[in-house]
Order: sequence, then structure tokens, then C-alpha cells
Amino acid sequence: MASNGQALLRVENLRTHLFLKRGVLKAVDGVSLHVDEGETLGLVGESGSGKSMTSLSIMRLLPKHSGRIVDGHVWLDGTDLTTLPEDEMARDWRGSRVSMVSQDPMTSLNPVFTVGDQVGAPFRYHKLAQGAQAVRDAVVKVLGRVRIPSPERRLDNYPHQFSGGMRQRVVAAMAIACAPRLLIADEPTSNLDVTIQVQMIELFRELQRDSGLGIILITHDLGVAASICDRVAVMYAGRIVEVGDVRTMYRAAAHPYTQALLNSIPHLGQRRRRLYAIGGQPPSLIDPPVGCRFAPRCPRRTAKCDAEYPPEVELAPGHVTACWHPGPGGSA
Amino acid sequence: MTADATLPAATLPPRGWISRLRGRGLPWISMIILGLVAIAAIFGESIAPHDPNGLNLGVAFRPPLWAAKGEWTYPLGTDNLGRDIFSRIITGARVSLVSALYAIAFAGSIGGLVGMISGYFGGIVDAIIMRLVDIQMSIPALALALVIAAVFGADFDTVVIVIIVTYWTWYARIVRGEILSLKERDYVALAKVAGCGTFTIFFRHLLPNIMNTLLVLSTLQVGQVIIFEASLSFLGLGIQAPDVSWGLMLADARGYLTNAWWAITMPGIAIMVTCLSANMIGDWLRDTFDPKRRQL
Amino acid sequence: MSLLEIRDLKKHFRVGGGLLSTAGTVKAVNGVSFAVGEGETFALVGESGCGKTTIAKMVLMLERPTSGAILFDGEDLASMGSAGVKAYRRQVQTVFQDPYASLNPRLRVRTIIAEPILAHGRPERATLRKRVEEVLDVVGLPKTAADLFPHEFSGGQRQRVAIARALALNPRCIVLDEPISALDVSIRAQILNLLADIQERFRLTYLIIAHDLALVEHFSTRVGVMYLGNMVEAGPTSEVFAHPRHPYTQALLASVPRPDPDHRPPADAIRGEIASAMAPPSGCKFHPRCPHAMPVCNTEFPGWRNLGATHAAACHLLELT
Repeated sequence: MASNGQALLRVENLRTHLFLKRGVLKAVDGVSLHVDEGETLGLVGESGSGKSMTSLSIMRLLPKHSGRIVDGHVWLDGTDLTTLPEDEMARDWRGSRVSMVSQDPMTSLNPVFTVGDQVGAPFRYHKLAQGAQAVRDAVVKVLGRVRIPSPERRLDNYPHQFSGGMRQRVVAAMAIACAPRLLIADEPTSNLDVTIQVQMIELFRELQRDSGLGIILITHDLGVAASICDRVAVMYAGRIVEVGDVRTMYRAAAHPYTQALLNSIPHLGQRRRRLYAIGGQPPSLIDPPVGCRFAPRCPRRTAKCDAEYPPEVELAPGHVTACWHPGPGGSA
Repeated sequence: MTADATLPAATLPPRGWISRLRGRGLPWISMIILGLVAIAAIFGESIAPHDPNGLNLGVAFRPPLWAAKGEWTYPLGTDNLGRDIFSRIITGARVSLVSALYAIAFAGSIGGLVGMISGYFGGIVDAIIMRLVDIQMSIPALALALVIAAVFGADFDTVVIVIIVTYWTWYARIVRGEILSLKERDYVALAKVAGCGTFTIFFRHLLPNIMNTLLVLSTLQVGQVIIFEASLSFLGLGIQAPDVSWGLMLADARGYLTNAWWAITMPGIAIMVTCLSANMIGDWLRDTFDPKRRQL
Repeated sequence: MSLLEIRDLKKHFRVGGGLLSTAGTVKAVNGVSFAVGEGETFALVGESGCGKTTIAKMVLMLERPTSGAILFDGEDLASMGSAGVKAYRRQVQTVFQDPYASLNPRLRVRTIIAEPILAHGRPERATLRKRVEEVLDVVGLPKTAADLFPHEFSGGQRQRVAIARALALNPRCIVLDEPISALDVSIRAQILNLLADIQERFRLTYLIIAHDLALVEHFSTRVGVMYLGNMVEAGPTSEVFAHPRHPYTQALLASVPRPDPDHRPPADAIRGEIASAMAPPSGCKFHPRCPHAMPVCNTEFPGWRNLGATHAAACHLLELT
């Protein structure tokens, strides 16, 4: 969408398709976004909206046989990641300049190696520290950065000796070990309890404050997105339907889907008798509607919506939506 | 209540095993080989070119077709008594296959049921059954065969009994493991909440879900059981002449190994090829049913 | 007057010593009491390991209590004969969290919904058919859904099937175990509204297990907040949420990320992590994380203190006032 001169990451018209037996699933179908240095972009959407596929495309970690980027570019610091040979991507980019935190810390950690070994791996692989002692020092430092108490003692512990929240910190430590420019966090808090979640949210804010790291936070939780993000992009059925500054998105969303999402969840402290329910369900991405993909569920649907995909409209600087009838909600 | 009333029109059953089988390349060669063995087992003597027990010392030690002095009359050669090895292999297929099927049917039902009971009820029942299984598994099969043969005499029934007693434990263990995870499924808990009895839970919710496992395990065991039967007969604890079995052929051929290699090699190859085919089909079934290996 | 009454309920699990752990006892539920009145929605809320799901399982008779009693309509579950249990099962049904796991993939929806009915009698085919179609209609699914298999439905539709099944016997009480947390955000409201509708229509009593505080506030009439096997605060939802008295309830409410960029949860909302259930802290189990912990909290388990007609909390701080 609106691109910025010195954006850290610029994704242009990305199309990622999954080639399945059932047909071609257009998981990401023309996504453009940018992340500035020191900025957190929230990528909000339901399962199947393409948010995770977008992140896997950036990391070039698509399912080997079925997934392929069919069109578009991913510019990180001026380099197009989509055209890099795989060995260069693995050596110089993935895990070093762009890294990832996934939802489940237990599957990201190997139970038979110590935490020190695993957090040390990126240092050894990317040759950022030479020699056992140097790696050890680097690991202690990075574990300290993610606020793990007495890291020099916990280094030799195994993952199962850590609590859930601490494990997620270890995973975060692995991700920031090589001082990445961009961190993709895929539902980093959704398996955590509320009281631990708030601590992780604080950790992400801190990491960003002292490093100028760009973060893409993928989540379905509008509360989490509001707590961390500077900007929020809402995805629906493989496309971004609205993007804007976090306050604009929560106060003056213009796309009916964004509005419906906000109205359909209970908000703490605002007891309402009934929730606004979005009827129907997301369309199949194998055979998506030609027009606006939200049209079949949309209260503002007109003939135009069914006929043609709406163009992006910039309603205010940085606030862009793809809708034929953008405007304040209330029709719900 | 008009929300999401859109339903798919088709009422296809879930992808059952038949449609899943069709979805992947079939192990054709293995299936053809097993098919031929099955035909041999069914028709036996009636399709064998010679009488499998017909003595004819005049043609003893004829080499197989492709060797020097080989002839079409005895394509795989003859043994020390001039019996046609090809005919004996055809006839012997019956013992191998029938003992395998019998044994697997019984071992599978007994072991499967015991495993279900053990896994589902847990506690003391489980502890007792599993200790029994452990004890059974620590008894050498051959020692057991000797005892049974000594008490009941060595014949086909002995072979089948020994195989059942040896193999039910595998079913019990594996089925128990499956049930342990199946019984924690939400729909099993919901069946209890609905008021369903143990019988309903067993046969509606558990049994259909272990059928795949039973089928795969059984196919994989066909090979093992054929080898086991051959070993028993080879040792004289199983089939006795004039019945023919592949293991017995091996035992007979031992004495003149140096002057007629084919007499021991041919039944050996028959055993190997049959086992290999059964195992390959078993592997393929396992891969086909394993959701982790299944494609989308 | 309460339909369901829980009295000093305890459930202790023995955890066997494995290769890396020693044997011990987990006190999953350690003396919990509450009552659910007819027609009300009682929510059990808490983080993982607080024991809320174990309580649900005991109410559903899927687990046997270690001690304590569960009374339904004044009758103790433990002393019911098999006929009594059968009658109880007719009246108490459940909807689980994961609609992908709770429907047997090999059965058609018709069989799934009919299962509880057939477990309690042998109605005529036509009657059964009518009843299945009736409940499908209640949950907003067309009759044709009866002939489909679960995999042909989306998550939200499956949850509707699960609700239809729970309604099949015309129960008085439904235990809802995280009924929407496995569903997509845009589907959740549909299901919540449906649950609210059928409650009103059939005068159902709900016991809902949830970790989502916003959902609990929206959906329940009374709430019990649990921490490590104990209930720490209970009362009318509106009162507990407006004036939480237990420090844990306060911390929990402060931690919830809200969809409001101007209300970011404070960094110091709560410290530390939930203690292991195998080695819970002495005294008040929350004291290591409590910002107001006093010496007494370390040694003595706090008793219940009434804070009004129906609002109560278990905290030593309340003794001071």
C-alpha cells in the first residue's frame, strides 16, 4: 500500500499460491505492505486469511512441494528476497537479518539440547562469535536481553526445565541472537496465559526500543495488536482490506470487515446484550469471488461489490482501505 | 438463525480406506506376486504339473531350466527323490498362506480385543494383562513350539497354535497404545456424557478407529508368520511329510546342499519373495493410512 | 434453590515418577464450593492449571472427585444408583472446545445427534428423525445437514452440530468448556449469540469454563475466579469485574490486552509465573506474585470473607479493613 522511501521492508503485490490436489489455493493474492525501522506492524486476520503465508513467503519457508511465490517482490534493506538463491537466503538472511518467533515454543526448541546450545546455534552458524567461550558470552548476553533471570546458570538447562513463559523468551532470544533487522512474530502470545502474555508484550516493546528492530506481529487477537502495534493491517481472504495507524484503525476503521471484527468481540468493561455477528464464512481461496471477497457477508454490499474488486483508497495519510463503500460503521 | 446456512451439496462419505487406496500408486508387483501365491494356495495340487510327492529316482537332481542339462519338464529342477520342485512350491504355498491367515485372524482378534480391554479399562486389568504380555514375549517362541509339539504332536495345528500364542501379544500391545490415546478423544468423553454404555463406545467409537492399525499390522505380519512357519517345519516341529511346506523343503534339501543348490534355493526364494511382497504392501498401507504422510 | 451445588470439591492426581521426575500429588482442585442457580450462567475463569476443566469433568461424571460432593437438584451424584445416573445424564449435557475433536469423523451428523437420544431409549424412526431435524433447526442448520459428515462443515458449523447434540435430550444444564476459543474471531459472535438465544428459549442453566475475561464478562451472570486449584473470588459478574477485591482478580483484569490503543496493559500488572501445581506455594498460593503480600500470606491459607450478599473473596488483605 502506501510505500515509504526508507522502509525497512517493502512487500509489493505478493502472490503466494499453494498447489494442492484440490486445486490452486490462492493463499496470498496481491499483498503489499511496508514496515519501517523501529516499527511494529500488526497483521490481523482469521485463520486462512493468508497472514501466516505472507510471513512464510517473506522468510521463504513455504511448504516445499506445494507452496510457491508466483508474483511480487519482498524488498528488505533494498534486496529482493524473492530472487535470492536459496543458499544465500539461508546464509545471509534467514535467521540473521530476518528472523521469526512462532506460536509454540515447545516445537521451536529441541528437548535433547541445552538452551545454551540452541541459543548459541545462530551465533555459530552465522559466524558471529568464534570459540566456545565467545559463544557462551554472547548467549548469556542475549538471554539477559530477553530478561531471563541469572542466564549464566540457566544456560545448561534443558527446555523442559523452563516454564512456558520462559521458553517463549528463549525462543525470542534465538530470534534476536543475530541482531535481525526484521522480526516476524507469528501469534507469539496466543498459547500463553493472560498474565504471562502481558509480560511478553512488554518484552517485545523493550526489544524494539533499544534496537530499532522492525516487527511484523501476526495475530488474530485485536487486543494484543492494539497493545503492541504502531500500525495495523487487516487481512481477509488473501488480501489486505485495510491498513492504518493503530489509533485510526481502532477508532475510525472504514472497512466493514474491520468494523465487524471489532464489534463481534466482547470488550472488557463494555457489557452489551448482543454481539454483532458476521453471517456466513470466509470464501474458498481456491475459487474466490471475483469482486470484493467480503461482499457475501457485508452489510453494505451492492452490485458493484460483486462485480469488481475495489481499488485502494487513501482516506487519510497512511490510512488505506480497499472498499467501494468505505466509511464509519454503525450500520451494525 | 439464518446465519451460515450454506452447506455443501454433496454428501460424500469421509475419505474411507478404499478411496485412499486409489489415491496412491499401488505396489502392483507385490500384489501380483501375492495373487499368484494365493492362486497356488487355493488350487495347489490340481494346477501343479507333477505330483508333489511322486517319487521318480530316475530323474533325481535335475537342475533348473536355465542351467546346463535343464529341461522344461522340471522348470525349477528336482530333488534327491526326483520330485518336481516347482510342483512342491505350488503345493507348499497352501500351508504357508493358510497358516499365516489362520494365525493372523486369531492372533489379531484375540490380541486386538485384549488390547482394547487393557487400554480402555486401565488400572489393575491393564497391569495384569500387560504383565501377561511381557511374560509371553519373554518366552522363546521355539522353546514354546517344542513344548507344544511334544504335548500335542507336530502338525499343522501345532504350527497355527504356536503362531497365535506368539503373535497375539503384538496386537495387544499396539492396540492398547492406540486405545490409550483414542479413549481420551473428546467424542469418547461426549459419548459417556450422552449416556452411552461401554459396548457402544467400544464398537461405535473405538473399533472403527483401530481397524486401519489392525489391517496394517496384519499385512506386515504375513511375512513374519510365513518365515516362522518355515522355521518350525524346518526344525521338524511343524508340517510332516507327506504334506508339503516350504520350510519342510528347506529341511529336506539340507542334506545334499553341495550337489543340488537349487533344491534349497528355490523354496528359499519363494519364501523371500512372498515375505517381501507382503511387507511392501504392509509398508504401503501404513504410509497410506498414516495421516502425517498423507498429502493434502 | 440452586440447581447445581459443589461442596468442598477436591481432586488430587497422583503423578507417577518418570525418568526425570519424582512421583507426587497434583492437587488439581483443592476444596472448591459454589452453587449455580437454575437459569443462570456461572463462569469458572482462570489460567491454565487452575482446575476449572477438572471441575467440569467431575460435574460431567468423567472424573470421580477425591472428596467433596456435587449435588444436582439437591441429590448427591455419588449416592445415585445407575438409574439416577442415567436420569442425571439426560439433564446435564456439554459442549467442548474443539469441534474438530468432539465429533466422531466416521459418523454422519444424524447419528452424532441421535446418539444421546438412543442411549436413553428406542424411539420410532420418524420421531427420532423429527427430533434431529428440530434441533438442527434450533442451531440454524438446514435439515440436509443431517446426512453430512463432520469434515464437510466449517468450524463454526461443527460447533453448531455439537450444540444441537447437547440439546437433543432437552437437558436442564449445559456445561460449556471454552465453547468459542477454538473458533475464528468472526464466527465466535454467531456461536455466542446462539448460546444466549437457546438459553433463553429453553431456560437452560450454563456452567461455562473460560479463560477469556471479556467473554466471561459478556456472557455470565456470576463468576468464580480460580487460581491453582482454589477459588479466590466469586460473585455476580458485574460486581466482580467492576470492583475486583482479590489481588489476583485485579491483576488478571489489568493484564487483558484490550482492543484499545490508549489502554495498553501496564508493564507491572503482574510479576512471575504460575507456580507448579506439584509444588504449590505455602499459605495463599498467590502470595509469591502478589504485590500486597504480607508475612501471614506465606503461612496461612486465607479464608473466605463475604463482601456483600453474594460477593466473596479469599484474601488476608480483606481482614485488615
